[in-house]
Amino acid sequence: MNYLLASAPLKLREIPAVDFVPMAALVILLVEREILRIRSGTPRSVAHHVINLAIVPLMALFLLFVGLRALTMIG
Amino acid sequence: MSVVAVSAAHARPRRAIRASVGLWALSLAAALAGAELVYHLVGLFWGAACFAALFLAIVHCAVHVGSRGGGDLAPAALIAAASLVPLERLLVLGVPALSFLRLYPNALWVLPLGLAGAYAYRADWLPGARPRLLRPPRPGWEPLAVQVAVVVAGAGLGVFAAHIVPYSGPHVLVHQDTAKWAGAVLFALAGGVEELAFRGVLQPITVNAIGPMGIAVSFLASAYVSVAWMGLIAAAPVIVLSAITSVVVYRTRCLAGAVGGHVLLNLLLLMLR
Repeated sequence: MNYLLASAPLKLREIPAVDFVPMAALVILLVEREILRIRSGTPRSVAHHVINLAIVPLMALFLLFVGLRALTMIG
Repeated sequence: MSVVAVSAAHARPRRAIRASVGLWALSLAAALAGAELVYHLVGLFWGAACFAALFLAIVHCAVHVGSRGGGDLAPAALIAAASLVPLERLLVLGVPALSFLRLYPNALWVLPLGLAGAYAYRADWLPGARPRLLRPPRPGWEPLAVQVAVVVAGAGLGVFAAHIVPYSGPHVLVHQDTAKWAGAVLFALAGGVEELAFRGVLQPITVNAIGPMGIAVSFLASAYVSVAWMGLIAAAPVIVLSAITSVVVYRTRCLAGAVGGHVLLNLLLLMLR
């Protein structure tokens, strides 16, 4: 019940579950990037480049998703 | 005698690299086939989850190889570039579907993949010279004529495809809303994005790693994503054009004709059928 009330303003339950899959992958990669940054200390290693390359499209997809969501909720 | 010995010593690691890349490509193909099977048998959510898991696994594999590579970027770059294949499938399945885009409601995947392709294309840490986007590498009319010929071939295949690909629904441009143009533009853009990602990024990296066999690898990857998105019959002309552009981009080191041809093919396929 609490979950329903909490999610109702954002209408999260109306979003298809598949839309959350790329976002979950993005969260994993962002966490991984932070771990790498803290561990290595060098900001421009190959691992950083590879993770950045993977983050770019998922972040773009996330921003598209948020933009479309905002548009449909406002409109 | 010493020359023979030296060339044999060079050929052995090259052959070993080819064998390991071949094995790796087979494993990737098997994993992709498994994810497709899950998508078709179980459903969209689990299919997307499988492609996401595969994408993350490949990225982490590239990170691992990159950190232990000892300065050799080629293996990590090859693995990172291979992640474009499950990424494209993940984006196609996971992108919000918009009904007003008409023919392909999930065509929004083009934007994130285009960004990823542009980012990788401009990345100076990736080994291998990427083909030029606009200017032919040599002056003169011959390289220009080749690029124009590829564009014309793309247009011809588009007209041909519009006639042979069966389509029973209403014409996509018959609707009154202006949003239909967004769908048309995205579908046309998909061709350019595929060329940039597969001929502009994946092909030079695979060629750099395993030689001319890399052309076949990147061609198969692009053929697979086209079939998976559009279906076998609609993707057939795209596959033919991809075969042409793979060779042309490898020989001329210029992407302009390939991008123009593929954009025209998609646009004419959409407008004329």
